[in-house]
Amino acid sequence: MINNKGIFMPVFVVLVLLLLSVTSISLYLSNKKALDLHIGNRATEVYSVYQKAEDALLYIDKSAEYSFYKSISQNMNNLDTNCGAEEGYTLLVLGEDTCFLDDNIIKVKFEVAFNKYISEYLNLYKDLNLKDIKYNLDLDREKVNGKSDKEIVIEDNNIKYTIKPSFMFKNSFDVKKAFMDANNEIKKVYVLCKSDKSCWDKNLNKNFSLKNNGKFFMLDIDTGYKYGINKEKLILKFGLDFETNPLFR
Amino acid sequence: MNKKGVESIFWDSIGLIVLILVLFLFWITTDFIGKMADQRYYIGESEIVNPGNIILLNYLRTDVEIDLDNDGNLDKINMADLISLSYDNNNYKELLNKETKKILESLKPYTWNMEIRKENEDMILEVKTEERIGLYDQFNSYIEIPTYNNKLIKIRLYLESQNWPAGVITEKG
Repeated sequence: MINNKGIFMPVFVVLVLLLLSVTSISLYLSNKKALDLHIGNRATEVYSVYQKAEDALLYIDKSAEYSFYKSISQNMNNLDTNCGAEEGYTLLVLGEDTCFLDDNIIKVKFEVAFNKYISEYLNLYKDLNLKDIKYNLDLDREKVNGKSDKEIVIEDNNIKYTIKPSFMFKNSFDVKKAFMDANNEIKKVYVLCKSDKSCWDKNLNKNFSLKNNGKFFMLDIDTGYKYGINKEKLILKFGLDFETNPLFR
Repeated sequence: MNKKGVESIFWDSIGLIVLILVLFLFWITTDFIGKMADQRYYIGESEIVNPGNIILLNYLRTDVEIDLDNDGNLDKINMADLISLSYDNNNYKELLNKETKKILESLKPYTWNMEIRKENEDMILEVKTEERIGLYDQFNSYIEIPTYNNKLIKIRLYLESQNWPAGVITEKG
């Protein structure tokens, strides 16, 4: 009698091999001969988000520089002290009140002017929403640092990238020092001369030009510095109005 | 009759068929794996990091010397500032053209070209490092910068090449 027990194994092997062969042949003959791999897709998406941020930061850097120069232009003849301004001169004395500058006043006045100008630039940018960014300005010698609490969020292809739009650039001179040097010189002569014009003429530095209209003294101070991309002269304009009666001012 | 001999022929035949099938399967599998290894790796333009972006940023940050206030001393500004100055003043365009050409020529043999336009698309400057027809633009990079007078300037940098811009760059086989 034939022993049929052993026949199961070879039949099973043959069936499995046949199945594998059919699968392989069908794959081999199919149109999709191989997988088309698009490599670097995700990496380039990440890079494009990063690039968007870099472009925005360059725009912010240039806007910050130009805004700072415009702030210098505005503040050199209208720093808006508590005494106000008259005929394009920042008043340091009004009647019996004095409004001499200090580091903090200069910082605050520059910060206000700077944020006004930079918002005009940032509103023009279309690729990202840069509106409503306010900066804390730090004038550290020639360095101008700007920091903002607001973050810029860039979301693209499920990639989220957050940047803090801070900036730093170097001005050709220390703005705070230029203003304070002029302020200190005027304060020194003011203490010595009060409203005595001839005393002022004798004691003022050569780069200070004084003219007056009655009791209103106007000082043009050529600091010797130049600023901005047009290299304009930094001429500070300070006024002292000794008229105590407001009706005669 | 010796039945064992008949059985032996029967089982040997099946064994031979199995062996042939195994060899056939081995051949098919190795060839299929070979095809798999021959797969095409597509790297289209959109999947390549555009080198133009970095070139454009570096271009705009490149320093240039110019006597801005006619005091006989050269002042240092960057290309972004020079473009800003050229927006309203044609006197700066010659220097802008010269410096831009110098920078783009330094990137040869790659033929990078540049267009600088006002917001209303009026051309401020166009610099081409290759004046040939039949070339394709690729690796387009765009950036916007402000001018001192609150205007926008659009800059486009692109590479001109004989290759069709998108498609299969490499095939591994």
